[in-house]
Amino acid sequence: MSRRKKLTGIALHALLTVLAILWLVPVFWLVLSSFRAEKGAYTSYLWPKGFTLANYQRLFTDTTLFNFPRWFLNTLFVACCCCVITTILTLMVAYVYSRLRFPSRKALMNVSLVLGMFPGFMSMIAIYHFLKAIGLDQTLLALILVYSGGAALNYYIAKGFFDTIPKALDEAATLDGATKHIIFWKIILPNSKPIVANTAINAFIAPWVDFIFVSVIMKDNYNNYTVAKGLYTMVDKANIFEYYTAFCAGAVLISIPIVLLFIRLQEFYVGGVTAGASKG
Amino acid sequence: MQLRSRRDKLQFSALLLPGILVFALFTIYPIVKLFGMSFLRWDLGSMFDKSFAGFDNYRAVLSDKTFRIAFENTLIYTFVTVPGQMILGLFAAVLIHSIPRFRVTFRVIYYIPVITSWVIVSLVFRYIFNTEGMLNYLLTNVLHLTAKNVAWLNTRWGGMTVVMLLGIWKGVGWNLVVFLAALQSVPNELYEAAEVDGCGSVNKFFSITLPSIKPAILFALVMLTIGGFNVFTSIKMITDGKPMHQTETVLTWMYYKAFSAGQFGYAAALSFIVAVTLMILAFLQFKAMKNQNE
Repeated sequence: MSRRKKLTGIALHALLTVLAILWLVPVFWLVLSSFRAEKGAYTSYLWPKGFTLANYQRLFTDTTLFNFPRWFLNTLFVACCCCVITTILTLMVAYVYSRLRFPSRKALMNVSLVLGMFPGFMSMIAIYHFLKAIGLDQTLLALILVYSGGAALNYYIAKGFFDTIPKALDEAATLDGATKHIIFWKIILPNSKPIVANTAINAFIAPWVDFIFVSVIMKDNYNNYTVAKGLYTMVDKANIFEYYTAFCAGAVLISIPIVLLFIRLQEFYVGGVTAGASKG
Repeated sequence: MQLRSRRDKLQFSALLLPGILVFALFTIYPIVKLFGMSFLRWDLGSMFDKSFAGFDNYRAVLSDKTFRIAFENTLIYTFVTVPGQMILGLFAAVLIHSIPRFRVTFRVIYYIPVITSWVIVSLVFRYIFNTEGMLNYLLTNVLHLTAKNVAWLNTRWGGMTVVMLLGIWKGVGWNLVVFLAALQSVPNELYEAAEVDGCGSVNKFFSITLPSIKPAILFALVMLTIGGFNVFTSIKMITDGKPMHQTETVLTWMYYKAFSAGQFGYAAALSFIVAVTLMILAFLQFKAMKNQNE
């Protein structure tokens, strides 16, 4: 029996490893191309003939056509702002939904849920005209506002989490004279690390990976591009031969912080994803 | 908690207000505005002639052949990638659940595609499946299975298949995480009792595991369906609707109509038709979820 168990264990590990390798092939190929010394998008061989760090250097030195450092800083700036704004706004609303019983509460929650389901990108046309009307189009501020404003479905997951924190805690604090703000910041947030981390990571990652909103808002204002949009311009027909390997290097560079962040905070992150699954 | 005083009410409002304000500006207002636009004749050529058009835009969308293709493609994408991701994700979750070590390592590996930018992975897939790409090199020059390079991306179904493969590849990790957590919350006693009753492992999977993780399955179903309807970046990067708009999805077609053709009224009407479809689908799924919880 134990011998059989051991064999099954080995077989399972082997199967999972093979699948994992298969899963990582595209990623591996991207990393490999980022170190390739020969130019061009297509090669008639798998293994690069020469390896170099020049593709990475080029991103930071050859900035006349593609200003990668600028795009990187833009994205970092937007991501940090979104991270703070979205986390605070979402959690404050979720906390009120969880604690306060007011007449229109159910209606308000259902409206946010249904409208949250309305694909955010579809309202892009109206947002575009709105931003243009108030003179904010093609600015980083517009990006921050749009990313921070479209996270309605998150209320639900956060509210589900707050529901599990005993209300006796709030009541005890109220008896001690604490206001709702103090309760929220000093009692609820410190007890909600998983959901704080989850909301913050999601908000931080969004600007790095979004392509749609940045395309619509920035149009051809190259200086205000974020990395995703910027990298895409590197591989258009005119530049792909020259810049393909630099694109790969840029792709690897922006993936590293996100992957590291995920590895470091994955327990919290996974806790947030699965909170939605168990609350429904 | 009962509302105790005016002071309580004020304090709660102060917490609620900023979120509601942003929500009103960037979610409610655009939807209302969009609804209005969908009844206007609003083309780039007649920017100052936003006259009332009744249901003309809706009629134009519904009788548009390309919209029908785009809608079909979106449905196919959703109905293929959603079960595809869920089955593979559940399969991997069951495997990982049954090993004692390296769980976290495998979880991280499968999760890497989930957190990688759509732009990047879509372009990688494009250069793998392109006519001059890596796959063709392997098939033609290494394995000699094909006489010459196959143009995978130049047909409707070829392009759609590659985009769907990407969707599944990228989504499995998310499903894995959701299902793995669900599996870990199934009480062990259930399995032990089943073993006493002489249940095999296949039997145990269908009569204990699946019913126990139903909430997770329904959650994934709703989220992924919404995601499926939102497919955009991968199509834009890999096929860009080619050949001849045969691989458009509803969002890429809307984007084209609004920002390339400048027909904002048409695009607004299209948005509403798609949103209503999606809401009906999501409503049905939520209802199923509610019945399950009772």
